Amino acid sequence: MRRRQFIRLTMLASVGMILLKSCRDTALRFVLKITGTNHLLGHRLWTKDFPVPTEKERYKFVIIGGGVSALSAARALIKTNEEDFVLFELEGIAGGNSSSGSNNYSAYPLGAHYVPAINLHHKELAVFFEEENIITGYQDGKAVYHPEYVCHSPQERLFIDYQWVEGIEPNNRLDDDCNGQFLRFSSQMKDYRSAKGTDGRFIFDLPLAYSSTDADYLTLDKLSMKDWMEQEEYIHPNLLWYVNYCCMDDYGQGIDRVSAWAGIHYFTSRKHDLYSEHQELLTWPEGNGFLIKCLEKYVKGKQFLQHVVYNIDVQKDKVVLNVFDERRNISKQIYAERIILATPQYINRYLLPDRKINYGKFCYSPWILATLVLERFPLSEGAELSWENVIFQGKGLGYIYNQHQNLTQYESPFVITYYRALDGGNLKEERKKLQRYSDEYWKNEVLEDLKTVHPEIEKYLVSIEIFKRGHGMISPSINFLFSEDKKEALKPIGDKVFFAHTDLSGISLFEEAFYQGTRAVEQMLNDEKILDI
Amino acid sequence: MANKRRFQFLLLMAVFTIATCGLIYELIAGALASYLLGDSVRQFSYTIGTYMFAMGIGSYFSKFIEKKLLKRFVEIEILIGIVGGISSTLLFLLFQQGSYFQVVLYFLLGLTGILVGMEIPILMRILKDKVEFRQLVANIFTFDYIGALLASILFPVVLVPKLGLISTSIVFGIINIVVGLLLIYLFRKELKDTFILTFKSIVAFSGLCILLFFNKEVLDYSERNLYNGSIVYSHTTPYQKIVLTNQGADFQLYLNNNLQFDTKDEYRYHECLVHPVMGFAASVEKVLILGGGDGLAAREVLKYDEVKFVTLVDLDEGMTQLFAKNPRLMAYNKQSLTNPKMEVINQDAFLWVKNNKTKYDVVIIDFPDPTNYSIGKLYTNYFYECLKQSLKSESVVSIQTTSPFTAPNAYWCINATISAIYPEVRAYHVYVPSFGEWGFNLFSNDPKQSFRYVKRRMDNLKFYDYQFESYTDFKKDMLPASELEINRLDNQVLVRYFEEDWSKLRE
Repeated sequence: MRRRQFIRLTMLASVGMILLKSCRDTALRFVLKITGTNHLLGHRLWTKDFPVPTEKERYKFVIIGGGVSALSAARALIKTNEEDFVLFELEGIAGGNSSSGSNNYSAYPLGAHYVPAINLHHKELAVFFEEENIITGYQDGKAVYHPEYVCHSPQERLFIDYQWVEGIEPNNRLDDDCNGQFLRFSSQMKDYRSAKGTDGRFIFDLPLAYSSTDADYLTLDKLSMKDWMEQEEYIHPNLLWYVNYCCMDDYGQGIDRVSAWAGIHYFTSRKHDLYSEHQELLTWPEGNGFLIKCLEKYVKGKQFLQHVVYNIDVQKDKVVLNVFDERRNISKQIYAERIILATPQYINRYLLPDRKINYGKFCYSPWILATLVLERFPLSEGAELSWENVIFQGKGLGYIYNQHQNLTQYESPFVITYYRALDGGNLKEERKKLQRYSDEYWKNEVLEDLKTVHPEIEKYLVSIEIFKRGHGMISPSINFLFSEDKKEALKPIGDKVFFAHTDLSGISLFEEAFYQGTRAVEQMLNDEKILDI
Repeated sequence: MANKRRFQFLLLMAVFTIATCGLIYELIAGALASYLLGDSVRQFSYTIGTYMFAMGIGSYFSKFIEKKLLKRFVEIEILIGIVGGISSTLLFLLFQQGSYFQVVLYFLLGLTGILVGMEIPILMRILKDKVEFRQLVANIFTFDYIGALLASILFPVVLVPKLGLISTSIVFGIINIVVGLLLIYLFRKELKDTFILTFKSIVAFSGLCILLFFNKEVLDYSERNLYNGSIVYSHTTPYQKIVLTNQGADFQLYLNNNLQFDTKDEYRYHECLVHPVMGFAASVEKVLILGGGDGLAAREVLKYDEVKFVTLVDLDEGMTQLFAKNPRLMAYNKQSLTNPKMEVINQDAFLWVKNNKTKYDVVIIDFPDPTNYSIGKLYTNYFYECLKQSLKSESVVSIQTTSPFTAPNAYWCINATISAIYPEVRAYHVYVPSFGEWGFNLFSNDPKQSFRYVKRRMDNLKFYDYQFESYTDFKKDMLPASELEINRLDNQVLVRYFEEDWSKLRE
């Protein structure tokens, strides 16, 4: 009797436990979605396995590519009243490294997510910002930015010593050695920011092409940022981590691979306020996807997505392009007077196989971005949730709070985007890993890193979307920025093919992309004027 | 003989527990009724009366139970545990609705009373052959009354402050069922087939345990100490935690643990928020209230017959619903939220202001203090810039701007921020006992607005006397320590000032 009762009780209790546990477990179930750049279609370029063209079209100009440089080229064409052009983009969405996505709760970036206050001597960019009401006016010689676009406070926080602190510099002010090196570094960068060469130009400028060509400083491109820091006796691990973080963030590679010139450029090229520590920057929930939307109005009705240009035949009086339309699964032949190739060099090598350029010099690190929807925001010690949330010595680059620029009150669910550049020993290997490793693997990689700061994050997770970017931004490796290969890749082919991609700048920034697109159009149209005479 | 004594002792302990539980349910009902419906003397009187009467009915019905007395007794025990245990949870859920509250309250109270009323007569019948009658009556009633005394002392001193009303009722429901389970175990021989009975009581027991487990009150135990009064109602909306507490005759409303108003002196605050601006405005036909989901500012606005139309924008639907439906709270805001002149919009104020094109004569801003960065956005220069869209050239705005005494830097930072956008700004303050010295600002885009000429007066105010100048004097201890920055989206200095000011107070 007693035993039977005992068994009954245990059974009941265990049923109860299972019920309770299942209530908890439902919270751990979330949606996992994996997307990425179209590496399959890209790889078909290599085999050229496309149908025979069945249609013919004729345009004055064709822009190939759909990133910032391509769209900026389109804008430049419209500004000079050239309407007869089309744009072909391989992906299903425009934007390239600045593309973006959205879910029910927020827009989010799939790549670049901010632009620091611009150099006003980059005049065309300032004009563009005025047109889009990003710059609303000028005061004391400085631009006034639209209050909704300037990154709201609190901007940044760093997770270090088990808590969040404001700002991302891991400078321990109580440690004289650490503080001393940070101060010295900062003051040296300040000097470089205002330094000019014998030609009167800034040593480090943005666009990079505006920089001084003094040979003295160009030698900085011949050593790594790490070696340079060692030479200058910057050895404190916190400072090394910080500079490494900055290089990873902008260049996708760390201080041991990025050239010293590029590393210093990161800290010195923005001149809007030579003496201020405070970096004003512009951001949107969709990141630089906002700027893509601004630029897309210049390609209305002219932009063809999921169109792969797979063959370029430069003839005497025209350029003949073979274009595959993935949606209709047919190929077209396009005749153009001139074309702008706003595609990265890893694509160009298949389009123009005859060019004698060492494409191996162009390095692009693979990236993963993960956008997480959280039912609640996990509580943590220290500084409040900021726009950028960086984990000291984390695997990734931290996460962005996508709804930060909203004017509304905090509202559940929260949407964050986590960034990580895969800067392993060999970029090619890393890229293969990206495609080969399981979805589960990447999900765990992301969550493991985030759990170091938010141990209970999985409990609140509604969905996670991982975006794999096989080729992220160009990395300014040692001996690349001023190399012959880079110069060669920039040279037009006859008066027919012009090059505009950001990798020709060597650093992947919105300003550079805009500059390249605008410059390529100028170059192309000026050439025409010469012909007309 | 020893066995018999044990038997008797156990049943008497059961009486004792039953009596305690029974009185606790009655006290919970009384407390809830007086919180919700007001007039505690009347509510307690009614609940005690109803409960006693129901016990009488129960005693009467007990005679119809003829066989299996012990089994019935245990069943009643379990039933009381269930009804009493879930009663306050049910009543709390109905609190916001208001309308059916009374019906359900008296139904549950009656049901519990009937069941409790059946217990003692049945128990006496169980024991009548085993104990001498003289002793039986004396013992049963002794333990019954001791239990009642214990309950009435425990309730206000320990249970309400430590456990809260909901948990108290669940815990006592569980105790009732545990008594039942113990009786089943001890009298398993007399009861014979105990399987179904055990099963029923274990199901009820687990049900109540789960209820207790998911009960927010238990989780919020640590927060309980934040409040001076006892918690009457607590509700977490997607945006904030609303807590209503009671202290003596007064009620206090807390939003995210910050005191929003105390009924004993809220008139000072709301009269000073509303009547100065209404007095100085050229017209008051169209009034906009931002925040103020409690409807108390609206109550003051609606006193003017001239007012034709009031728009109230408050983010939290849970808040405006509570104050539009709950009779207790509606008595405080004089049903302002359901007034035909009112339009209540549950939307984020910043977004609404940015998109609104309607122009208002008067705007009243009653946002929470800038305790976090998301509220801080509502005090930025950009917000005040966007607000211009809702203003006519001669419109006047009044805004609550935290305490100039406790948070002088925050107070004057808001003043400086408004001054950067509007030509006419006037700071004023008033003493509200439950808040301390409290500050407001009036502002207008009309350079002719001098805040001197009162265009209309409301008679019979409890506090505001239209001597506006007398509220605009700030002594040294209410001025900022140093030069202040303007609050912008990209610096959010206000939240930092506010935090610094308050941390000084804590030191």
